[in-house]
Amino acid sequence: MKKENEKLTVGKIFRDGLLDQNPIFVQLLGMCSTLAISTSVINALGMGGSVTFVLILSNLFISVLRNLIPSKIRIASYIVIIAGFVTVVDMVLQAYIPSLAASLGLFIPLIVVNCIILARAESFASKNKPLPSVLDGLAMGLGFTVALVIISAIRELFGNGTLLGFAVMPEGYSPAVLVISPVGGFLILGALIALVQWFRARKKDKED
Amino acid sequence: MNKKQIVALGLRLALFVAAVVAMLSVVNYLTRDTIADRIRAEGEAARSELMQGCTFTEETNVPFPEDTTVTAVYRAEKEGVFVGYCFDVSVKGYNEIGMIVGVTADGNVTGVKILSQTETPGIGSKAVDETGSYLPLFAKHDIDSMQQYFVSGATISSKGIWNGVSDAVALCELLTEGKGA
Repeated sequence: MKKENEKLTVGKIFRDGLLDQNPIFVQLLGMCSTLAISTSVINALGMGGSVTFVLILSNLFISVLRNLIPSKIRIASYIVIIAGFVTVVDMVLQAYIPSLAASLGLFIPLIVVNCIILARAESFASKNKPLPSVLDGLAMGLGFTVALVIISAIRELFGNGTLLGFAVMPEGYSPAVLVISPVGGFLILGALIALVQWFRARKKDKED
Repeated sequence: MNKKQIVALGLRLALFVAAVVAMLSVVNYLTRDTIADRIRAEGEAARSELMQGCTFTEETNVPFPEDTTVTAVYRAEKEGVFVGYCFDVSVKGYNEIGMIVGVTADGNVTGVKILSQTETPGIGSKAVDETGSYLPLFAKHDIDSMQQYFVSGATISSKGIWNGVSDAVALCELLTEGKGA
């Protein structure tokens, strides 16, 4: 935010998406679906992929149409475009990856109201050219996916003793149910946010 | 803002909506058959799990009672002998719940399979969880005594499911009447 005038480079777009403006760890956007689906790595990858797909396409179209969308109806137009792509994801998942569609369930249609997507539309795609907007969608989507995978790997490993569905913990390991429960989700998310902030603060201290 | 401006904005928005609708109809056209096939296959898998080793034929000309939630009836036969029915049921929980109920000829529920649901995750979803504590009870108790069980916090979903299963049992009774069952 403070470096608004910094030159827009591919490196900056990706650093923003993955770390400096990470949708989950820094901007704390889309917390509802984050906590709900991060109980297994498969779900995290499915959700991350779906959100990335919607982000890239909605950013692209909103950027292309940015001069045709009157500012008075911009939010309504963004939502129509986003909802369209989310519905595409929903139908494609139901047709070709039904198991993922079943385990993500209601959270796929709810991507429409995921604030990450609207936030990128409003703060980036509506002000930038199509190519940077697509890259921004990709970077933010990757940041979201990476964060989800980290949270879900911890929760699946300790809460279920598996990773990607394969048993990795030694036999006789009794899963910590707390980690899978919503409470555990909040605790792990909090700890990870603290870790990321500590890392960023340390880096900034060094730079100064 | 005058009237002209409002109409112009409305038309612009309508144009965006029309473009999105056009895109969605193409995707729907491409995925419709795959989804329908998958739903049919899931239904078949659920039926053969509820009535093991049976072959199924869909009953036509079923005298559906008024207000029943049953949408389709499949007759189950094992080596040519009539065993019972599987009922496709669509009930209202918090949202629409699609399920299949297996009922034997003498009116016992063999099980309940949930095919589609969008109940609230963590709340209503407890009632529709096939590995949860509620759904397996239907195979163990008769339908009237099931009225006393609910998933706490998911009363509406549980009630919806009970209504559907009870409609299935009632229709089974109606269909087997006078057949010596």
